[in-house]
Parts: sequence; structure tokens; C-alpha cells
Amino acid sequence: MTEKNSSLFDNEIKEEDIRSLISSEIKKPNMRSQWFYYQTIRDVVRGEYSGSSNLSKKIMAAIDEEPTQMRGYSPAKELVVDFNFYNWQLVLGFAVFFAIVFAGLNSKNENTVIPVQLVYEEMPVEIINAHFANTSSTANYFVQTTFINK
Amino acid sequence: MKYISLLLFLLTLAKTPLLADQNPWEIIERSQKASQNLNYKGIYISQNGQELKSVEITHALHGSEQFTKINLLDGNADEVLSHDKNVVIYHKHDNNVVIQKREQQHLFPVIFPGDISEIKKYYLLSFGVLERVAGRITQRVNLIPKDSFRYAYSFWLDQETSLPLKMIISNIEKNILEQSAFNKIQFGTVTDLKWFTPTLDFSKKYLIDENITKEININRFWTANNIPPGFKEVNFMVSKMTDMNLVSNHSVYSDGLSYISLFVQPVRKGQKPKVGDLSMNATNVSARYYKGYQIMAVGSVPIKAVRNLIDSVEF
Repeated sequence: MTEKNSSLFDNEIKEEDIRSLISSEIKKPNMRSQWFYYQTIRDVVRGEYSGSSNLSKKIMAAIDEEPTQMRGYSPAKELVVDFNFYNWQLVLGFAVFFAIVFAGLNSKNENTVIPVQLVYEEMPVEIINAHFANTSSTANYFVQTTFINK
Repeated sequence: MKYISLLLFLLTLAKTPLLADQNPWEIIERSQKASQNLNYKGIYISQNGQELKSVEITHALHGSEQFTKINLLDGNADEVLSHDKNVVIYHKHDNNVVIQKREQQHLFPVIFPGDISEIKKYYLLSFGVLERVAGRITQRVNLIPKDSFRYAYSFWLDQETSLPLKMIISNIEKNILEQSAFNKIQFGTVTDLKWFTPTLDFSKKYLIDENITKEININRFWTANNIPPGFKEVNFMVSKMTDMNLVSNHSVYSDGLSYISLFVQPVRKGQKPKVGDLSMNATNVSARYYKGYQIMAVGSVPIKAVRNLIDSVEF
């Protein structure tokens, strides 16, 4: 089975062998939990499933698409500045310059984010679907989440 | 003769099980076990607000493993197959079938969690009359909330097997918000696992939705300090936001029956954050904007529960 699996992911196995492979494996109790991957085997062999092709390409794409969390990281070490007493005039000049720039930018952007009242028509669908998909005890469970490439 | 009558009366009392001596919560425990251990196949109707859907369910215990197949009979021919904790949903479209892996759920009639201690703490149990559901005699059981953070639940439990055959969720005004009820059910007819396979259609392309990236290693940067009493976090997910290289945090809280989702996600550029409350039948939503993030709670609970939760999020 291991060898066949390896062949499968190297795109070497013949398509006609897949059905017999699946039917023999699905009968094993410890393999039943993997049954949901069988659907993709056909796509893997035909190269239609993007996850099966070139591994390095896949890794690079994964790195590029690695999502970013804006918060939650440890703060960097405090920066130690060797203050030179004779440069105080230069420092003061920069401080005044940045204060002016900051005040200008701040006054322009003060009201750029204005929250709006939550209404039914603008309720984010992805949030409602993600909720039902993970909590519903009824038919709402069938909603589809996140996938948009129909 | 007078003494014999008295003795007979006392003996009758001794033989009659008094309700006070029994554990009334045993009926819920029996029902929980029945939903997992019985083999059954049936069709139930599920109503949420104006929406009505028919669902076919087949459930079997094979050895110690549970197998369930659920088919949506109205609209899209979607399917759910679950084997113990592995749950997969097949969304069927015109040209493709999208496969999503899901977390294990308490889908009707498997409503009750294995541990009902939280339910005991936060709900009062009462018994109603015997009623007929799906051609079978059922015992009505009500779970009334002790506080205003959750809705009331009524269950019609099959008298013979204890399986829930009907469920109603209602608010404090006794308005029905959500209900599910079998109109047909058969026990013991499922004997093998031949039925436990997805309906294949090789004319369609099968795609796996891998957007839900639960294993992503990101520290939670926020805390919620006012979780409604009795609710505990049962799930925490991090998923990539659609069209964005940013992640959304999704935490799920439950008291064993009711569920609340809490979302903490960055506001998209050019999008206006939402604030305020919204009611959609049984589902209530409360939103808040905080330090560049949209904080939103959604749940089949009274508005007070979701509002308190979002107000307590800090980072």
C-alpha cells in the first residue's frame, strides 16, 4: 500500500488501478477515517488537483499565501540609543519636524473609519455561514463556508 | 380487616416508584445514549424562521464506531458523512462538488452532549404529556433556562427508545424560533455499512476546500472577560479571510445546548465596520468596532448574551 501511495502521488499509478485500490482499502476499519480523501484521488492522477503537483511550487505558494495576523506577537527588544549630547540640536529639529507631520496626518485621518449600524442586508455572509457550519443543530449546518471558487 | 387494608395500601406505596426518589435527568442521559447507540433511518423536517428543509438521516453503530449519513432533500443535494469525529460535507453544484471537513456537531437528533452537568446547572427540567410524533408515542420534556442568557428547549422523546423525535427552541415569550421533527423513522433496519458512501458523480470535478486552517500556529491576542454563565469555549479556529492575506479568529462557546460564535477579524480596507445589534429569527448578532478590528458575536441565544460577550473583548 505504501508503495502504491507513493506511486499515486508521483502520478505514476494507472487510473484503472485506482478503483481496486480504493475498494480494498476502504474495507479496512483503520482506513475508513480517510475515506474522504478518496474523492480527490481521481483529480490527483489527472493533475486537476492543484495540491498534487510540484512540491516546491506548492511550498512557495503556501509561503506567499501565509496569512498574517496583525496582533499577537511579542514586542521587539527595546532599542538602545547612544545619545550624543552634541547632537541635541539635530534631534530637536527632527522632533519638531515629526511633530508637525504627525499633527497634519492625524488631523486628516481623524475620521476615516466611521462605523455604521449593523443591518440585515449588510450582515457579512461569511460570518453567518461560519457560525451555522460550526454550531447549528439543524439543516442550517449545510451552509457552505469560505470557498468562493465555484 | 382494617389492618390488612392498611398493610396493602402501604405495600402499594412501597412498590410505586416516587418521582422524588428517581433522578429525573436520567431521561436526558438515556436520550443521549439512544441517539448514539441506536440504528435508525428517517426523514425529518427542520424549520428556521420562514425556511423549511427536509433531511434524510441514516445512523448506525458498527462495533464501537458511529456512522451517519445525512442528505438534504430540498434545494442542493448536499450530503454529510460522519464517522465518529470525522465529518465531511459534500456541497453539490452544477459543475463541481466541494468537499469541506467539519467539526463534529450535535446535529438533530444527536442533540445532547456526553456530559450534561452544565445543562443541569442552567436549565430546569419538567415533564409534559405523552404525544404522538412520526406515528410513535413520545414523552414531552422541557428544559427551561434559569437565567436570561439562553432559550427554552422542548423535546419529544420516543417512549420506547428515548431518541428525540421532535425539538422546539422558543424564547421567553414562548414564540417558536426553530424546530425539527421526524415525520418518518424506522429502527433496526440498518444492518450493514453499504449505504455509507458518498453519492459519486464522475461528471463533476471534486474539490477540497482547505481554507479553514485550524492548525495554523498563531497565538490568540485577545481575551473575552464576560462569557455568559455556563458557556465554555468548545472550539477555536483561525481561518484566512476571503481575498485577503489576513486571518480571522473564530471562537465557539456552548452551554451544552446553545452555541455562540465570537469573531475577531481585521476590518478590510475601504470597508466600514459594523456596530449594533441584529435579530434574525432565533439567531442574534451583536457587533462592535475596536482598535481596527470587527468584533462580532452570533448565536441562537438572547441578544443580551451576545452583546455582553463582544463588550468584554479586550486586547
